[in-house]
Amino acid sequence: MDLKKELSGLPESGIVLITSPAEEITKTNMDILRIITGGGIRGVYITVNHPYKTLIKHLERNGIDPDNFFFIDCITKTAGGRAERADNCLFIASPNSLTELGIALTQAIQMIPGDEKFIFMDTLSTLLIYNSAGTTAKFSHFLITRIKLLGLKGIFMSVENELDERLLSQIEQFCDKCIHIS
Amino acid sequence: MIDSLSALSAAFIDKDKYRLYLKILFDSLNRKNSVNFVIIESRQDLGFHSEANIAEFLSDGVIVLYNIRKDQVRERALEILKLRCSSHVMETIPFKITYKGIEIFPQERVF
Repeated sequence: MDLKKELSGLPESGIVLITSPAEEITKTNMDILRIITGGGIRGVYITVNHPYKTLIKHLERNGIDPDNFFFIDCITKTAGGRAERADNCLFIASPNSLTELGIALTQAIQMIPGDEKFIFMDTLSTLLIYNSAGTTAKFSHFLITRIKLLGLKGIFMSVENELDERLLSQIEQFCDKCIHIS
Repeated sequence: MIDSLSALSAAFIDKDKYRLYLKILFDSLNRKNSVNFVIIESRQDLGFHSEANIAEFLSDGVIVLYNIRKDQVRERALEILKLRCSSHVMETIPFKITYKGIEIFPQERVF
């Protein structure tokens, strides 16, 4: 699948849901981020899977400049790690602090200069470990609507088969495009 | 600022006398040219607020503060239950206590 071609057809404030097999998700993430930031756009990276410190190293190893992002780290504090103060990262108490995540997102968007920005969520399916399907669907809808109202691009990653059918179809209907990588 | 009516209520064994006391207190506050804050202990229950709901009835405005537990974390939220002669938001709104003071986020939602 030509991801670049798939992502290039997006409208300015488009929302894409991308599902990928678990073993491919990290590589897919990096491919997508390389394509998006290659276009000179900066954005907010919401990480539920990798702590901020690890993620920075991972991005650098893959030739992606971490300065292209403002990070929201939902996992370092939960894992008992030290949330050291960083200029480009907000640390959330837990992936089930969705209220705090919403507030942090608003603040993070304001931290990025320019009009064209993106929100990258890694991964939606991990939110299900900490939140019910109903709460995850409500939060996703809130988040997607907020991104659309702000006229931004949103990329939501999910591991294939980790969202149940009902939740997947609910989230798919909020999105402008769904890409299933197999 | 009266902090708090809950502490004062401990002095009353007779509930009717407490209600009468509240009526006199609120009438007295109303005669002052001031904004008065009265703090009452509340249950952390979205449907029930104070034992002596006469205070809510007599007040011009009621703001309920919540500290909601969600698994291992807590989130702060507030709700304007009543604001006489004014339109106000009807949703429960998150807030934070930071080094800058109380920060309210009316555009956000509580999940």
